[in-house]
Amino acid sequence: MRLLEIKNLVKKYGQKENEIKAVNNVSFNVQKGEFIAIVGPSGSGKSTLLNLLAGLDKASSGDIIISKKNISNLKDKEMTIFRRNNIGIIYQFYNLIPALTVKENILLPTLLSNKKSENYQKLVSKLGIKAKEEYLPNDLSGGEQQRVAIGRALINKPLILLADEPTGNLDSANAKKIMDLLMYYNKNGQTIIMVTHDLELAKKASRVITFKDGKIIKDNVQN
Amino acid sequence: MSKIKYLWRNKKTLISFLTTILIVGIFFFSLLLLIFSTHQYLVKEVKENMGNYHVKIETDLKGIENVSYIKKIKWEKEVLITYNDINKTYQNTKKLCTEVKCQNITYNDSLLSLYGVSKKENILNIFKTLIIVSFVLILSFGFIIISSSYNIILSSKYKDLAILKTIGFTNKNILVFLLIDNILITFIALFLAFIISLITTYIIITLINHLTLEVINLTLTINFKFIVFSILFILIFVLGICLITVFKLWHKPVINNLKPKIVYKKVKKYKNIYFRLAYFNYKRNVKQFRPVIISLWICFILIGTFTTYLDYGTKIINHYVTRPNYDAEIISNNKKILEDFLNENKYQKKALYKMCDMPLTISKEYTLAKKAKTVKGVIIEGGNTFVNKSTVVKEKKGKIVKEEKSFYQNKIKVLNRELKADNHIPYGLSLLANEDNLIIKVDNIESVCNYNYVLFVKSKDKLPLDKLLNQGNVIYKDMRKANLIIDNFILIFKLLLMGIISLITLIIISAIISTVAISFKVRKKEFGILKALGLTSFNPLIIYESLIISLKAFLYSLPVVCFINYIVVTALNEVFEITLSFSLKPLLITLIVSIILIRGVMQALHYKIKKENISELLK
Ligand SMILES: Nc1ncnc2c1ncn2[C@@H]1O[C@H](COP(=O)(O)OP(=O)(O)OP(=O)(O)O)[C@@H](O)[C@H]1O
Ligand SMILES: [Mg+2]
Repeated sequence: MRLLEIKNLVKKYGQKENEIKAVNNVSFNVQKGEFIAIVGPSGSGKSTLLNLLAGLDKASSGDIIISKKNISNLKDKEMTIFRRNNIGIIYQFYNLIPALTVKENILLPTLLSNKKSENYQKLVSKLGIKAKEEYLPNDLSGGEQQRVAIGRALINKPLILLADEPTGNLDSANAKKIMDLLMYYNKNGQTIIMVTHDLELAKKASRVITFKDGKIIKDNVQN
Repeated sequence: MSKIKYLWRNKKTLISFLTTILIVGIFFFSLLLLIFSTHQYLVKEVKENMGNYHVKIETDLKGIENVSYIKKIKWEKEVLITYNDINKTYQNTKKLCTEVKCQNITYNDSLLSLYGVSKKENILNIFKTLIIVSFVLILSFGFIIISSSYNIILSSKYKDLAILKTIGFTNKNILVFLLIDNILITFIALFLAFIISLITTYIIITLINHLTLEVINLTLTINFKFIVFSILFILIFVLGICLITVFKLWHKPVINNLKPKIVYKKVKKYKNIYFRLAYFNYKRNVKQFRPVIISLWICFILIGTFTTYLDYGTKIINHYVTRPNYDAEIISNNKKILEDFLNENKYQKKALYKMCDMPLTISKEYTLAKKAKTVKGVIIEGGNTFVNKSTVVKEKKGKIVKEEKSFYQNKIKVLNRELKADNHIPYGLSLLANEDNLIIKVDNIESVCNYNYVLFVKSKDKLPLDKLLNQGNVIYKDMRKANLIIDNFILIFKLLLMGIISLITLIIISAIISTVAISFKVRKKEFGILKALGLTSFNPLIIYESLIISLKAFLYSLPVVCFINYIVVTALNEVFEITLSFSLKPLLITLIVSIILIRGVMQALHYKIKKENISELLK
């Protein structure tokens, strides 16, 4: 089943002579349950693409269609609501809210969308942070913080999980833990698109897309 | 040049710092100017009315001209002496009287009081206290506000300073660098404040003179003392702020400031997530919010105190001073003149009476005191009733009290008529309704006395009273002026309050701007995260934040306001019978306004965040 369709996507920065196309006419489709790793040199437009998919930024032209809804034309508020119901995001630097406890950080999306939080218990025990529920993010290690961020991204059962170098700030042991968790959720049907510099990790994904100068230069399905 | 560029880079904080000093300066200078001008005016009045001398002595001394400490002697029946130094009046007089024989020493207490010298109780003694109290208050409030807003500037510079240090600036270099801009900013701001205060005080004084219809006639006075006080003020602030800087710089190793400084304070776990986030934001910037809260706190206190004064003042005026409820009283034996006058204008209220007055004796069976009573009867045409109610203002146990009293039975017989009590006082006669007057309404007044026509009118417009002058047989009293002066006194009070409040509002706004500007980076990111998670509007956060700030200032001001209220009442209670009353309404209105104001400013400041792409915010 086709979940995501990207058509002729372009993102330009700057004006006239200084204009660069960070994402240059990119098209590809994503099926439900895929685990896609996006790799490529620095400055090739990976983060820009991810931001466009998450609706954190507006494309210059082209379409992004997520489960039959074209999100390129959505207004700011509509996009926000769409995102909180359908898209989970994980960042390199966790981006947790320092004022809130682990539990509250994870539950925040459900509060914002007035949803029930049925899978909370399952999430925290799988993520191994049950004992730290009442901690503030600042008192956690980087790996723990990233696991909280995963919990927060998954609590609303999003259609797609987007991750921008989720292991970029972690040592290899912690990076492996995070990767294992992502693979576990992918096995359970979660569609994931992850940007990474780590080619070893990328090998574990079901499909690797390679970027260069804003364009796809390779698109490999692995087994 | 590069220095100015450097300062200008922190535009928002710089401007807000300048405004804060400017406003505190304006407060201070204007207050001083007002006090000195009023002082000058009172001295002039006292000299004119009480005599221009320090002490009056009955003596036949000779050779007194040669005493060095005496400035001026006037020989009248007694000797009127003015000393060089008014502060030494008592000492010098004592010294003088050991040399020559003195009798009947009379000090000019009103004048001495104005200089805080008099040993006698006198209301004018308040002056010295007033000056000292205002001086200390403004100085301490001003210092707190300025130094905490300076802290904000400093904290925004920490990182820059640390970088300067890593590229080879010594502590001394940095200090010089900082001091120059402190002194520069403070000096420029205070100089501007000085000029602006001269202008505003001139305007205020002109306004006061105008509104009191020149009954009060102030002139702008710039005297030696004012200049000394001002220079002192400027020095204290410049030096104080420099000292703070020095202290801060030596206190912490500059290198510490290279690390990004984000304070993570634990906050109580309030249920409401928005509230918690707002409270956390507040906690994290508690230092930066201090000037906002302090200025708001002062605003609450001022409003609470002023409205208390106003409240008790108007109560006393309304209770003890019977104000005429008409603008003019016109008496004539020619009815036509008055009727023409009535037709010429539209009046809010009017009453035309046939009226006369004559002494009356009420025999004892009709009085409540069982004693015959002779009063002035104020007689008007129509009805056969009399007003059996009087207000009595008298001293009771050292207090002035006002009572309503009846002096007669419900029916009296006078002028060969039976009159029934009716306590409705006809329009215009309320000033007359007292113990010594009996207001009577009778039928066929012509059989009682030679009456005149008397007209009472109240009008919004100016009355054409001048015309009556040429018409002979007309007497009129213009009450408008008296009424106006009382009203205008209250108006002046309100205007001053409004002026002060608008200045404080400026301080609050500039403090919020600099606070938010400082924490903008952190806020930007956090708001970005929230938006990425699906928060559609920041409004609840901003509303809670303004709520927290306003409420805090409000709650802290309450005990102070209550305390001041209590003191005012106790002081007034020495003279008047007045009950403690506390009105929360003005404070609550201020609270609501301040919440709205802070929210508005914050929202304007966050507009930029709203417009920006989230990917940009998260960088
Ligand atoms: N806000 C912006 N304004 C101008 N140019 C931008 C902006 N954001 C990104 N770019 C440019 O777009 C290009 C792609 O940037 P992007 O961050 O997507 O690269 P990336 O592949 O994620 O790199 P990295 O692996 O280093 O994270 C870069 O050349 C970058 O300079
Ligand atoms: Mg990137």
